[in-house]
Amino acid sequence: MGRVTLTLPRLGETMEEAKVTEWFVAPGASFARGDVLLEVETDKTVVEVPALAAGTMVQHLVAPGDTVSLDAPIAEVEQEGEVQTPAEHGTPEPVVVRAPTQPPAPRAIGDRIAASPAARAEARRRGVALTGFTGTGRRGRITSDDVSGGGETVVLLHGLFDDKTGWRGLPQRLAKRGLTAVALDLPGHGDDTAAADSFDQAVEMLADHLPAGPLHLVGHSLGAALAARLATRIGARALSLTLFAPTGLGTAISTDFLTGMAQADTQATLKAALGLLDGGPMSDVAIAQQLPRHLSGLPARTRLAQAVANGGTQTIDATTDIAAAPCPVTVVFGTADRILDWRDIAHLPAETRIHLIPNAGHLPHLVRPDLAAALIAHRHDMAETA
Amino acid sequence: MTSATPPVTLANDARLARYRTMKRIRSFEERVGEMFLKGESAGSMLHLSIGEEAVVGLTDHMTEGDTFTTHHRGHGIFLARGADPMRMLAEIGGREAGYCRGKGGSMHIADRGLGHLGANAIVGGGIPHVVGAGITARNTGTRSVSVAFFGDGGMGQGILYEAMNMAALWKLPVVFCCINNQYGMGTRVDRSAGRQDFPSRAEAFGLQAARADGADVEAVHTAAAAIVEGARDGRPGFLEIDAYRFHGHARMDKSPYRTPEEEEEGRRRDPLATARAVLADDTLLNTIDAEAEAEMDKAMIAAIAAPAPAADTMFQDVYDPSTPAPRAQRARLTEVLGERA
Amino acid sequence: MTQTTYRDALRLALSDAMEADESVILMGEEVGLYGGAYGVTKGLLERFGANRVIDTPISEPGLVGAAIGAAMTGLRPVAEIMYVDFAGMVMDQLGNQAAKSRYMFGGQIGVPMVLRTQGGTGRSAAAQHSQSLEAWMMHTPGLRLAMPGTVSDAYHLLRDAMRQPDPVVFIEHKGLYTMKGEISTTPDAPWGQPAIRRRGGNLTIATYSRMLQETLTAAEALAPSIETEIIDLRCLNPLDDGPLMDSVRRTGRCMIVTEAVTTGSVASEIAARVTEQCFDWLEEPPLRLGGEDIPIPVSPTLERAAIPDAVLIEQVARWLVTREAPSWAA
Repeated sequence: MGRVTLTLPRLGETMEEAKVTEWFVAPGASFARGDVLLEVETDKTVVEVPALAAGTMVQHLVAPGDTVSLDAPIAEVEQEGEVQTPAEHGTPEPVVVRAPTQPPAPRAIGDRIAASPAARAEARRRGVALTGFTGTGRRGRITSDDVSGGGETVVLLHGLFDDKTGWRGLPQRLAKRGLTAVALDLPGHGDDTAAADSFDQAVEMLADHLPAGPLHLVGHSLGAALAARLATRIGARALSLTLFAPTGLGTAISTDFLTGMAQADTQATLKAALGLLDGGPMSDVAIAQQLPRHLSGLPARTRLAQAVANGGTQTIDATTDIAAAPCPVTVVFGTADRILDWRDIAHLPAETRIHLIPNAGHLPHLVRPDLAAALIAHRHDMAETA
Repeated sequence: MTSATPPVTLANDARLARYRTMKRIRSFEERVGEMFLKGESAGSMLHLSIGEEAVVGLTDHMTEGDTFTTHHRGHGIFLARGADPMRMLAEIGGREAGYCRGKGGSMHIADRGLGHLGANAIVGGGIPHVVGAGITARNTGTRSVSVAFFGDGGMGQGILYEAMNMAALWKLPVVFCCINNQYGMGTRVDRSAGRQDFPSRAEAFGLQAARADGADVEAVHTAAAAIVEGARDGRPGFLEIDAYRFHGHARMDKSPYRTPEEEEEGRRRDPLATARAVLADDTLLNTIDAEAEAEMDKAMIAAIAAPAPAADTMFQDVYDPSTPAPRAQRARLTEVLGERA
Repeated sequence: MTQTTYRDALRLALSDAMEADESVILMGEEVGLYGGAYGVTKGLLERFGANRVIDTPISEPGLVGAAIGAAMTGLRPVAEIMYVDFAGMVMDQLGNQAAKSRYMFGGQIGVPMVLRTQGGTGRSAAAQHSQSLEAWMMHTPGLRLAMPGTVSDAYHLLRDAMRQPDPVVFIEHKGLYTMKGEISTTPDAPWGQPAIRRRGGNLTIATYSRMLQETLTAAEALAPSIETEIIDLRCLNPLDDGPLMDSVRRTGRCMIVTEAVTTGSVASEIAARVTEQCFDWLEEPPLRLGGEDIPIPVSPTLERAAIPDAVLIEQVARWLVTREAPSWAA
């Protein structure tokens, strides 16, 4: 025998509560198993509640007229035998939502670019190709957010005595491919007034100005060597390295150009020095406009030049950085380059993609801007990451 | 109303056996009600045959090889045909150990071995199946009979008349048994039948027909003899058993559409009481009663303790196991939404 | 290989099966003495007798129910419902009984029966005798579903259907009974597999039943400037959609052609699958081309306009691939 609290069982399919209509067993009275204890009214009908075991009624906890909820106590009884309580109304399985993991590296699907229909429509609207975007969607799919947010970023680093405008129309060509081009001024060049006295110091100063996130690094001449070093610094953030006529592959460098630029103080001497680059004809008006810009801050630039090339010999070695590059590397050289020896490409690692432009001088990216734009951030065949 | 029968002696084992079966049915149905109140049944669609136990008078004429279908109030019929009460209660409780592995429940219980071709929740749903079983018996040359059990509610279904017509037309070994408990859910039979003479409907279709008093299992037994044996000989038949549904349509619900006087009168038409009075050996009967109660208690406890089916059984038996089971939705979703192709 | 018709191929399948297996029986309205409303069962009563070719009263639910009971107890019945439009009358026996018995009964009792029926337009049979209701069956787990679109499949698919351990709804097309063709010695594809009826690289068209013939006609007109790959979904359950997806990944464009009402159709189901599985390969959305969302009108011109035909298939295919809009697309 034991004291038990009886509760209201579920008496119908949709029943959540019931109204007590009548008690049939008074306190003190005993009852047999199966005897009706009370009667209740549910949403559907009137139901009798029988005893599941014999016992004696001790106390009614609800009275006729009371509305009682499912599982609420209705009586105290003294009950014989095992107490069998109704089963727990099961709690629903909790919903587990795992936070999404980092998206894997983008993976091209066959030779197609995976992009959602919305992304394709957005790209069409903006007149950009999908090749410039990294997909952050499912399985590396390009999403419309990826397209709206601008494509991958390309950092352009010019060479000695040049500035960020020297890339001419290349940034616009890259934008057409959906890429965002950021051209930086080397220390002491262009609008940049802080000077660097060494290669390493230039690297430090440029590192502070790099945009965040994954980057395609592009450089010309000294900018290329700087780009190669920066690539090793940013590691997995470096998506590709494209080097136009890079310094640092060998030792030869034209003293005529370096001395000529350092000492040019007239339109004629400036024109002569620039001519060694073989960048095409320059108008007198352009030279006249360039002279004051050339003269302003020239000593700082000259110091940097001396730090990287001493009397006809290059003192920096970019081949180690290129060999250690965390991304694919492309090198473009004009075979008529008068500043550097294009045959220094022999020092490049076997994995480097090399493009030689016949009869082009030290500015192959301006002689063949179409090729340059296509080679930058070229979507290589990406092996599946484990 | 009761037939003039001699008092029980050991020679009357058959009547004692019928009493025992009826008592077992009653105890069983009471346990079904308890399982519901304990929250151990799968759902609440439980339809009890308390008061209708005299159907044993017909099932006693069925033998191995005979088949049958029932309506949703067919627990007693299945038990009478040899079902294991624990496996029945387990099925009613949606347990793996049940006859249908917890997939069918009270309303879809079946056992091929015992000839139960399925309980049906669709009124009349199982009636035409016995016609098919009759065709099989005819074509394969067995003397099997197939019986469709249904209620007075089923008399309103067109498919019953299609089936009776085909049975008569092709002279099939089938029996249509209407357990008339006076109510189709909440509607009394005089409010649903334009003419309540059900056997005459069957006769109109060309069947042998009879009616028996469901308060007297021996009367049912006698009337069913000719019907069932006639069916075996290719004369399909119809038997109406006049009974009273002691409780509500489902569970132990009350029936507010019935007057208390009518209910009191109806519950007096108790086949167990009738049989008891005739058999007269209280000691023996009380022993049988106690054994039945104990058997059903034991079955209920075991059924409640039995585990639910494992989650992956959900996909089994949609099709024959020699063919692939349907695919879980999660597999498809993972394929479409997963980060790796 | 001899020329025969779709109808005769069906009859041959039935008689071959009945010859090989005594438990195969036929039942339905007019299948015996009359020889079948469309002549499919002609001669079978004489050959196999009244115990195995059973003329039933006009009691569709009853006869389908009887077939179920016979199948449950050891026979292999092939029941016929004269028009698929009567499916509503038998949906309880088909959808609640045959489809679910094995499952509800925990695997104990299978229902190895075939329900033969026919549907489709083309005879001005009007709204209650011209429908394509296969979606109802495809939507019902437990039912298998096959729809032959060729003479060879009329034979082989029906023979396969009669071998299945589960209930098969076999939907013929009234417009194909007189189609001439050959029965190949081996089936064009195994049970549950689609058949690739034409190879091409520009557009994948999935279709079945009579629309297969219309699609093949359209494909001829589209070639050689547009090469279509035609996938015949002859078996809708079970259905291996792998070959279809492989095709769409090659072509990037997919059209699904059905005669049935487009809304809630089998074509809609297939289009959803293509979208899920081929998302990254699609140049265009998977396109459904189906019947108008209307009951079928009796007037022949209206009836023809209510469903796709070779001309429309060709126009829409061209539009999909080349962006040349048809003249009616203002």
